[in-house]
Amino acid sequence: MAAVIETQKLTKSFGSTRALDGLDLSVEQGEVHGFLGPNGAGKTTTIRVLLGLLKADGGTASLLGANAWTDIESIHRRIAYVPGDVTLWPNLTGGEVIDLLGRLRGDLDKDRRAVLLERFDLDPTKKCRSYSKGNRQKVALVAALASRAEVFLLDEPTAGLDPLMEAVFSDIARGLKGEGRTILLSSHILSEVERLSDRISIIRAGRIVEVGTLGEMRKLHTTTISAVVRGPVPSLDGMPGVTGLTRDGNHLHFNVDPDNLDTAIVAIGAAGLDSLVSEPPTLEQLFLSKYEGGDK
Amino acid sequence: MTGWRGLVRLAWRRDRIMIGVVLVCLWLLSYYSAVAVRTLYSTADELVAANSAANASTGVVAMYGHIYNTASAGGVAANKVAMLDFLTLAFLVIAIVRRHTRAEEESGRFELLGATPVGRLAPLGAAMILAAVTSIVSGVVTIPAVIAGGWPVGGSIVFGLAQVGVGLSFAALTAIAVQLSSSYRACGAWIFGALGVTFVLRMLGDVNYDKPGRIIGWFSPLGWAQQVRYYDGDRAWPLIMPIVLLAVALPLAGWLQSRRDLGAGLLADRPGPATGKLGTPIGLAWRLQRAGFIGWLITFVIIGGVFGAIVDTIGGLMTGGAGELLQKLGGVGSFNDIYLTLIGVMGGFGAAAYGVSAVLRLRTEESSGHLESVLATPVTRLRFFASHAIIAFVGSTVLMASMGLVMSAAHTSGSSGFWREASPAFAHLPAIWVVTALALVAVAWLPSFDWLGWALLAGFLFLGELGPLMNLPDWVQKISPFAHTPKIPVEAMNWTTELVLTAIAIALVGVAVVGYRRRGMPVT
Repeated sequence: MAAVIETQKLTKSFGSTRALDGLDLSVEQGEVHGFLGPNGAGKTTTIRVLLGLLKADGGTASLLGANAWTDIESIHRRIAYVPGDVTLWPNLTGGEVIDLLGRLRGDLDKDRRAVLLERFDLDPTKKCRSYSKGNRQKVALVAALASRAEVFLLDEPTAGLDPLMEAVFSDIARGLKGEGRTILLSSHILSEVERLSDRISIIRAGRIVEVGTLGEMRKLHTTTISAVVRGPVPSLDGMPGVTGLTRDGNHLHFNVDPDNLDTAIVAIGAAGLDSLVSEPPTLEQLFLSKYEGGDK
Repeated sequence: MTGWRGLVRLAWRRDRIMIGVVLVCLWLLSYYSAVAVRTLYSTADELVAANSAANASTGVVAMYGHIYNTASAGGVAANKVAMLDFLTLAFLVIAIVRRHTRAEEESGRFELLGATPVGRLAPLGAAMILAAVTSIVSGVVTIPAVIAGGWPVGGSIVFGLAQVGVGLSFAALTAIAVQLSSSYRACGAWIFGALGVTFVLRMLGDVNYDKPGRIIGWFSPLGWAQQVRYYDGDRAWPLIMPIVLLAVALPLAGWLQSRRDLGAGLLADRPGPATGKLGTPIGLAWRLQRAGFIGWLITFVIIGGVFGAIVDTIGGLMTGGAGELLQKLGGVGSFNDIYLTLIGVMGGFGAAAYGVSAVLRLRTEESSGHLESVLATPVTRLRFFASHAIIAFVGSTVLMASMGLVMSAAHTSGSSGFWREASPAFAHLPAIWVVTALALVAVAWLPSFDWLGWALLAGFLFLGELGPLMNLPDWVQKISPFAHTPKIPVEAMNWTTELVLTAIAIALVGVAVVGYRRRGMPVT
């Protein structure tokens, strides 16, 4: 699979603030790539560098095999973008904005536009200044999703949307993926990323600290075990890889890392099991573990 | 009005630098104007001569007002600085009231406040209080400033009070204007339109100072301030007019505010087209700037028509030795020529102001986040930059051309030739382009200091208006591009200067393009 978005050792500083600190991001053709990180981690800066709005201080950034800073025209013909903070021209109507951005991109698809307006339940005749936050977001989404772009850069695309509209968005995003389009999905909504993404990159302080499929990531993280044992409660103290052990009568609760999972299961299995619940880490736990552990 | 104290503090916190800088500039300007009169005219005769000459020029009277007693110690200098002070203060209070009422509503920040125990009228009230305090401080401090500069005490007191009156009047008018539309910009158009109309009414009143038509000036807050006749009769009673206006406008604004929805205007938004035809950066730029440009164009056409129509009345206004004197002061050329030259310069500064404001639209688009959406499409920075730059250059050129052509066309009998009388408006185009290009350079290289365009224009205006009065060194006065464009028809046409200035403007645009293509965006 070819990488359609690729950055290597990307750095960018604003004054004394280091926004990007050697960022390596790789998004492959046809995947939905989750881009996770808290506020200020460098998500928007990364996207602005990819759009050629900001010039990186060091490293390289390329989209569709071309240089993000110099080959703007050819790249931008093939991408669509939803900004994180959607602001629209107050005196234009939503319909006018959608058509303007489509024409500037050069690929306004009228039929698709009509379908999307219908699905997002958006009234295109209202002036942008009178739209609510959610409706402004819909305008930006329709403008981007109505295009025949190959790559979609979506910065918090569902911010301000109600759950119904979030579902519509997920559905459309899956459709795009089915057509082989590539989506970089920057988001805070972990359930959405978990649902849609093939692979996920977690960014922290301007660096990618973890990348992979959710399955791969889970393999690197502890599994939570809850067990009720019949026989004498086995001592797991000092067993390698076991943390957060609590005991309540014959009820055991602990976390264990993937390498020692089998040893731990054998140990409690020997005591005879009444019940066993094993929970793989959620994306939320993965995410939090990346941020609560201090510097890595 | 519950909670107004907190809102006043908030407004002051946000505006203190703007208010402080503007007021200090205004006081310094007033002080130095007073000093300049003392140094410039050492004898009473010289003062009378200068005042008579000013009265003899319809252009000067139209701009700054008539002097009733030519022995007035303030005279033409006081009239000039008064008009600058009045307009500056008017702009300041308009900005204050708009910013803390309609702008806050449109941005949605009022919703935050609306959920706290703040009364419905508190935001408007707080804005009005800050505007009123600003007006009062502005006027009251001006009094000792000009007394220190050497002007008589009595006249200085009414001058200061007249300033307060102008500030209060425009605060009151703005309070009503912000009720009209749900758009911050549209409200701005209403109040600036009103300011333009009051200026023209005042102008017509002044030009007709000895005819029944002078009553027209009494329909203008600027006219009331002038009717105080500082240093020229010193009468305080016209100041009853701003108080009457305030007494009518404030309750009206409060009533309008309390019966409408948050965020709504009296004139409701109508639904617009569901599809759009816009598809190019220049199309978008024109759509965004169209309404503003049309407003400017109407103003320039009216100015051209009015000034063109009254060219011939100048000869009739010349009395005694005044005409002769004016000719001495103005150098060669007929009275009509001097007048046409003056209008050309005045229009030039106006068109340059349009150029700067059109250029700054680039920054508004950037800081509001619109730029990101456009630059994410195949539109290059150069095309985006060019779209607004073209409107700035073509727009300011069209403004001057329309003013010149209309002015010449309106001067029918006794014209010295159609093109000859239209040409003063065209002579300053290279200077206008230089100012516009400087604004582009600021936007490209120093986006956080994008106001430099305005600062430079104000500096050039200051050098042109007060440089000679303050006896500034020649090279300082020559910094302004407007000091170089030929003052035709009084002076001869000078193609070399025009071409050099045009080349400078082109070079500056090149410098701006280089900066704009390499810097990070958006800078907010």
